[in-house]
Amino acid sequence: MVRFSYFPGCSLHSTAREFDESIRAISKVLDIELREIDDWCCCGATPAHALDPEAATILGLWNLSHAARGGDEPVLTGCASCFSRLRAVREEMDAAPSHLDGARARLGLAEDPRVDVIHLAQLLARPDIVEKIKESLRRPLTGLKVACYYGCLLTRPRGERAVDDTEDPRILENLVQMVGAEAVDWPLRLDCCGASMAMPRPDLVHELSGKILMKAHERGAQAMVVACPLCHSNLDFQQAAILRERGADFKLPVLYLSQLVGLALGIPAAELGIQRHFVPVPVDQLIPAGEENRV
Amino acid sequence: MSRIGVFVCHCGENIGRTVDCMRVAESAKALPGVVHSCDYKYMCSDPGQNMIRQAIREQHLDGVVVAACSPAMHEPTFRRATSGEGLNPFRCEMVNVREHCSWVHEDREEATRKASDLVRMMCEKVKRNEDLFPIKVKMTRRALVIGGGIAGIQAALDLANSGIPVVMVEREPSIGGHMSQLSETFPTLDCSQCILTPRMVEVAQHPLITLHTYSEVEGMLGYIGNFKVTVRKKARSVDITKCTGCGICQQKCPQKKLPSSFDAGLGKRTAIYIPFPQAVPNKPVIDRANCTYYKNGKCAVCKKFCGPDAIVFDQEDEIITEEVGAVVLAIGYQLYKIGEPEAGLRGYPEYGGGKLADVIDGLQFERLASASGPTGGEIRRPSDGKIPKTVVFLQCIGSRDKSKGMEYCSKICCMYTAKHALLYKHKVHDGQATVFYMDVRASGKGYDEFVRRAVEEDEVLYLRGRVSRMYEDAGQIVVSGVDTLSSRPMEIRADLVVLATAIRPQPDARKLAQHFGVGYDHDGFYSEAHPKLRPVEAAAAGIFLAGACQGPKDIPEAVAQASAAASKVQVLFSKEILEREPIVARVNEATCAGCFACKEVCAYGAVEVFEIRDRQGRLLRKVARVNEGVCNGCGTCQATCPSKSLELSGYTDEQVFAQIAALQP
Amino acid sequence: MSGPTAALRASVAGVTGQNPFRCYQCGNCSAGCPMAGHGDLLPHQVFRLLQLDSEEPLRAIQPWLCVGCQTCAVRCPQELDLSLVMDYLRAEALRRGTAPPGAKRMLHFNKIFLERILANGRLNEVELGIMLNLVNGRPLENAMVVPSLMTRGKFKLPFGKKVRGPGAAVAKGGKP
Repeated sequence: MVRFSYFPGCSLHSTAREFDESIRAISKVLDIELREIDDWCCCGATPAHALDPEAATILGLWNLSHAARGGDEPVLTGCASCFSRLRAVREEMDAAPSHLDGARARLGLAEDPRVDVIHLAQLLARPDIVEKIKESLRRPLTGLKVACYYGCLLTRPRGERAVDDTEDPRILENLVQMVGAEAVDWPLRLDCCGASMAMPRPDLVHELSGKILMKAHERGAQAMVVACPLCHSNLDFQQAAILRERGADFKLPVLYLSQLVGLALGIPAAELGIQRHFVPVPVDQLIPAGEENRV
Repeated sequence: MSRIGVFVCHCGENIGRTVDCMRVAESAKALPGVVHSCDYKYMCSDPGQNMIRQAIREQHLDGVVVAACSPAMHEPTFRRATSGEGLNPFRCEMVNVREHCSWVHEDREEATRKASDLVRMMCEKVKRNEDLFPIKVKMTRRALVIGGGIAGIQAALDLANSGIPVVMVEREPSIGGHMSQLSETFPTLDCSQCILTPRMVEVAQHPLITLHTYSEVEGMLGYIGNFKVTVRKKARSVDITKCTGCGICQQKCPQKKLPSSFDAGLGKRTAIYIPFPQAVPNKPVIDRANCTYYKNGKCAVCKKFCGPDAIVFDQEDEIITEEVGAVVLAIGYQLYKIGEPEAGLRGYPEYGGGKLADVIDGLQFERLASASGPTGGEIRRPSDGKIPKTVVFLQCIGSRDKSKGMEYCSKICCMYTAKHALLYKHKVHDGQATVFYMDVRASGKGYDEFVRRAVEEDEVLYLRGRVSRMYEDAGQIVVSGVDTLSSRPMEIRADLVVLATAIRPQPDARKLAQHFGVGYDHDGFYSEAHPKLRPVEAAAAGIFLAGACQGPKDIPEAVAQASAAASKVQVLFSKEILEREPIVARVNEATCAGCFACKEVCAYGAVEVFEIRDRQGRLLRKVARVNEGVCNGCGTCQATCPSKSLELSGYTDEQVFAQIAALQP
Repeated sequence: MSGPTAALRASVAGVTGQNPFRCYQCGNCSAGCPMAGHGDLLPHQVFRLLQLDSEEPLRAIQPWLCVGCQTCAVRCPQELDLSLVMDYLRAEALRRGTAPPGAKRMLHFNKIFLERILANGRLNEVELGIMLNLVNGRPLENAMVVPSLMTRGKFKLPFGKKVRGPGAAVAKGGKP
């Protein structure tokens, strides 16, 4: 049994509910205990650091100090942006920018909450969890061609804020192969989907996410796997409009990595929130039948 | 009783502004043994030196103390003035009251007091100075050139032609280096091999040049004028005295698909091979790691067909020792590889990390363009052999790139990229050549004109900007770049991409440098003794540098450096005997206990074991003895010796303690 | 040059630790920027203007198009973190009120998002959407998606848990 403080982030409580559901579902099977952080607040995502770096630090310190109150387990998060922001604050504790002392003081913290922060992809690549996944595999995704989409914040910037190599990561491909699927070789897996332009400039999202969807499909992908709710939204929620504009007639299901793993563990699609997607995911057509593993 | 002269220099304002030189000279007058003391504005000038000489002459001085700048600056000057008056130069010592006093203190009182103290200390030392005479060392009038590329070849020929015997050691089976791989050279577009091979043949045929190819230097002992260098002559598995170079072994060898390093990995060769048709010596070598005979005892077809029976499968490496008086390091360069960066450097995964077949480097392009290359001189894509219609050239791959670990400019890439683009356009008239650049560095004779020709006449498109990434798509390479001059992102679908990768030192450059005590910089290039005024000498005496191993450079510069290095060797060998400074250690054999602690600590290997025997030849005891030719005068042995049996001439315990005692109040 | 304009370059360097003079205008950032070509300036041009002591970057759209994808930062040969500079330029433009009309939508999005999370602790996308529409003068924008969000259980009304502590801490520093 491994324990984590769990940081869902704002999207996982609303538009990315299925990400939260699927993380909880696979955690049960993999004997991972998640304790949602009491009184967590938004990580700040793009707007905080974009407009007010000090506020961004305060948000991060708040979250990590609340995590630390519950214990010294690492913080687990599924959202790439939350991961990036929480790690950024951890880095600030070492780099000590000028506003750090003030931020700490305003929160009344005596010292820095030096809690570890880990992303779901890193957790699923840990040797002990890999073992568990292999043992618990009930429905290998044999024959499924998956395009792994990293987006921006999983592997950039370099160092502690990256879950794998910045220019040639393999962590998602390894995961895909581990659950029996085939990782497609395609060149745009690190390209930006348009991110926070979803509301202000959807046309830019259409252009960038459109290129990504078209290229993945062109290279034979039957599904795409992502690890960020914003990427998911841009690629799933916006897909119909994007592809209509381009006159394309295919559909490319977009799965969260927890859903991909969940299916392979035999968890029914409904428990993974797959029905909440905008682009339908014909699970039984994409992967062969296997054993079930209800949670 | 001593007769010491003290001369205090103002050095203009350098010393005089902080130290009261007149007072220092005054206070020296009162010192016992000082018969003359004065100060002057510029002691190193002619009048200043004349003051010293006059004082030696008229006052019959037996010791000279000059309080001035660092001995590193002017010790030779004042010692020359001293010996000019017939006084042994080692009775003249300098006191550094500039770098050690006026330049590091602000308080005039304190600085003046300190300067006076330093002068007093030195006077006490000089009283105990002795006449010392330079140590004469015989020299082996023979030079070693390591590296058989254009720089090594030039140096060897210059030396041999001046009558100095040369030994050349080259790691590859043939001499010629990278220049033999080039198709044409900028800016004249001379055929590279055509201008190089006559020199290669000259080296091979020169009566004064001994050529060891397929050989490596493994170690070095000794010192300037007297180097003993160990060379491993690797086994070719061929007896080159019998081999006629007919090449039938190559034709018959069944292993035909090994990557040819001469063709930069684009061509194939056999297991027994001559690297290229114009190789010197034109004799084959067996690549034992890939030869069927060595792997599983079968085949031996080459031996079967060899007329003169020159194949010797059980040939062994031969270790030889060459005795030389000077060494020229001319080992050249290698190219940075984007997929296999050296430790400490980053690669370029964003350009495919070396896995894309149609993304090649400059030497590979040279082989494509070369008439004797794998494609007979036609520019063809490595992936499918088709002729590319769109070729994109990228400059500065690795160079000038802090994030990859190489901040320097590789100097030759702007020129060879223009050359490549030009050659491509000459061969593929309807092709499009595009160059992504940051700057164009074309500073040699005819260089800028050459680049303008590529732009204006051959219509090579120069885009000022870098490329963020490239990937393979439907048989082409998609290149995402930018043109900063028009502020436009540029995405180009290329059939072939050529990267101008950074010039790097050879992989074994550091190890070789360590054998010879030669320094190298942060990037691994060999350090010259002075960046401006001594570009072809290493700081280690008797070792000289030529060519790209000292830093990226083009062929004319390499040749010029090689000739310069040869001339330095010629200067060295112009004298029969080499004179060395007499600051060496001496052992008092009467008190030496033979513990050899000094031998343990000597960094130069200068301490030898000497056996004292009686008349019957019986061994009485062993004592330490210092080889004056090797000793560098560091004094470590003196500090180590428990019985105080070692003394460093010029820095004896008596002299040093006298200085310390002079400081007591 | 001295005077009020020189202050921007100096404050960029001082606050972000990125020295604009290190940029040698290679354009690698612009070559990899997903937003290149969509704005008025390319990323490398922003740096050039800072080198020239200009305040034009504060009036440009380009910093507002930056989504912080970090592609520029990981590939810059001089190891400059451009995203930090873009962050600073946005914050400064907001402070001085110099953002251009073309940046309004991005500015509103970021500003309202931040205000909401400081007020309530967690972001509610419905609330954000409604407030954005009002500010942008487009009350019905994206209204069509509401039913599809509802049927998928993704439509969360803004009556959830509020976490006010962080906002209060930020306000102590004298910020809105």
